[in-house]
Amino acid sequence: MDDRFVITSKQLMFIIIGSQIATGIFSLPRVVTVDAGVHGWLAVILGAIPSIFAILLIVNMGKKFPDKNIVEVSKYLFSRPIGSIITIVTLLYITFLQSIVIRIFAEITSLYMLPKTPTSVIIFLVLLPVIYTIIQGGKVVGRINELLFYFLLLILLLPFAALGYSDITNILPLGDIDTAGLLKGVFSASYAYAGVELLFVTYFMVDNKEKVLKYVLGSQLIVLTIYVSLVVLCTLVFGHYAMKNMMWPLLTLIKVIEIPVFERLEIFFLAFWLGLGVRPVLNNGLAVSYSLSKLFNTNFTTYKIIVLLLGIVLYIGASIPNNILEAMKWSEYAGYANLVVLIVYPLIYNLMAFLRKGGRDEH
Amino acid sequence: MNTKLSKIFWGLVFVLLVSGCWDYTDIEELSFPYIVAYDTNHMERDKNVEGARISVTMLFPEQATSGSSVYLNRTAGSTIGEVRNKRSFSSSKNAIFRGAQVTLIGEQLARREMNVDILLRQTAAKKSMLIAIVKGRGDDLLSKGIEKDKKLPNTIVDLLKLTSNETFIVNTTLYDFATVPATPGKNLVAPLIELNENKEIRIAGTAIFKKTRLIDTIDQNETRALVLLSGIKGRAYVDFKIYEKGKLIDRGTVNVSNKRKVEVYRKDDKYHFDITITLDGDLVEHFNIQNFDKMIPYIKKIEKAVEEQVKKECEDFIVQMQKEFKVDCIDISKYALAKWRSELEKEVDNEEFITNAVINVKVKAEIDDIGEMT
Repeated sequence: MDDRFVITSKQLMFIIIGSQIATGIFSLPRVVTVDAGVHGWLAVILGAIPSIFAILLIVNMGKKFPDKNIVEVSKYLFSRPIGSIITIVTLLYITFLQSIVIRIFAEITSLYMLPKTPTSVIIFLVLLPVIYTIIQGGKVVGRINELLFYFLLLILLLPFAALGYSDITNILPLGDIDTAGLLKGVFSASYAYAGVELLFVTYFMVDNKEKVLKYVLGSQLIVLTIYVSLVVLCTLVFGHYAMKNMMWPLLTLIKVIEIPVFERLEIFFLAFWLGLGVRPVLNNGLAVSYSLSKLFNTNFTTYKIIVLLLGIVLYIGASIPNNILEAMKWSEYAGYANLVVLIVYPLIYNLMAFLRKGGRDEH
Repeated sequence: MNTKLSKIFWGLVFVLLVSGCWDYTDIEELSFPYIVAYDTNHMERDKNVEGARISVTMLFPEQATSGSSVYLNRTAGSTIGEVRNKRSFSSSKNAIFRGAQVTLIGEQLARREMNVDILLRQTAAKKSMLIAIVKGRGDDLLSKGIEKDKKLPNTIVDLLKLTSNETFIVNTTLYDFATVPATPGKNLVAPLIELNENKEIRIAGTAIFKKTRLIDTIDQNETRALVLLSGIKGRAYVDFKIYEKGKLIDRGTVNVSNKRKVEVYRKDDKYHFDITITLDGDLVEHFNIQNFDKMIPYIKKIEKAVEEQVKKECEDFIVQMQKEFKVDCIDISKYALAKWRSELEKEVDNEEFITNAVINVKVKAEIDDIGEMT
């Protein structure tokens, strides 16, 4: 494998975290509490189950083909034409999903920071550094994710300054669970873990695959902890009734905090988020470009051209929704599709691997 | 050469596309209202404004061109959005609300129900913006108040922000308007301010709301009971009197901070709330000076006198709340919701819930410091 695409298990952990924690975190407290009510935090915990299940399946499948990449595995398991079709469909889905991520990101930037700047310009400016980084290869993307993770931890401390406004009664009673509401909440919460399917591609980039499972499960623990703490925090401060009317409760929460000099703290927060919010696009863009280059068996120069073309496709895709509401609706549809990619794909791959007895022994 | 050309090309692209190009505005083209007052339309002042339902008065801090320390802009319209539109015909500068510190709402408008959707929706308005109800009209308070006090904006902000360090008052922000209307069992309370006969701003008491509609107002003394029962944190001077065999033997003042604990249970189909108020602070003054040896038991007497007085004030207020206001303005319904949420969330806002509740008050006073005298 090209050295530029070799990453460590630890970098894989940061890539997975970077793919999951994006702009969706701003609306997550509303999304999970709208059905689950005060038990939104529980929905977030249970919502992690599908992604953990998917991780176990993908790693199990990956262990059987340690020296291949996902394109080769697909072709081996499903025959060349069907494997190629599955790969292309998956890549199209990822590209669609990332277009929506960019659009929502651009809309939030426009609403809070740059109201007069055309959204198309914001999308373009967001894509420029993303494309540049993807062109550098997987190693650079891994390092960037690691660096940005520490920034993320720092910036996510800021909302906790609103703890002074919290009211413990907003999250009680702990019992008295509305099971139907909780299940809907779990379903909604599971979208927040979208991004773990990236392991299909990145698993094969890791140099020391023995530690992959440990680090990837570790990434889910980190993501889960961040999600639960933010959902609990927003519920404590606003209560789930009030959050139903808030587009992005986490950003509204930051507007509640008053710190002298920083008149609009959310701008300070979003300024940092400009770098952090594009990580899913960065990671998924790498996965798409890398897989396409493997599918067509190209060299690094062609890989660069693929990245540039991907940038154009992402730009066009992000420009299609008419407004933020439409983009968020699309994001909801992408969430449904994510469950297929997250659960059905790993199951089929494992089943095929079992049927074809494509285990390590035969390779 | 190609690399150089490429760098120049990308450099030019960046220069042309930096987002600041669109969002750049010269600060001279902006104006920053410091206080905004909302009122109902005024029959006389707005008679030429068709369909006027609301009037908005903005107080701007010092403007280089005006030569005065502040200036007022008053515009009427059918909605706040329309007011903003009409305002632009008389003032070319774009008003930026991110610096607005206080929103004043005239009593009449508050009774009609104030719609602050525009403030909650726009990203520029900070949720920590203070909100107060004006006894009378907000525009009158600003226009008359500024005649006497040229630093009126600061006076209002300080009054609303800092007074809770000196006495028990309620503190309301835009955040409360964002959360209370949608939350079962909660009702707004907001500071009530007025211009006194000397044209000086003062906090007159508290405005009691049913959700977001003003239903009544209470005075400064009743506000103390409301704050203590609500558990709104503050520090204040509380006077006391000690009687022995029906005769007044001492009077004085303690300076205390407050805490509240609420326990709720159901008995005989009724909701019982046991509120424990803890007052913790110092003896500031008293007139019946005791010897050092006698002071320890005497402090207990002072504590008991404070407890009895505050308990009586609170019990009187609870009666007033249950018989007159018929809304939970002391924020206790949330404790019942915290236990029986699914059962109560639809009925907690019915007035029977609070009027039929049994509310008991217990006050504990603890004096830590007595100063340099016994």
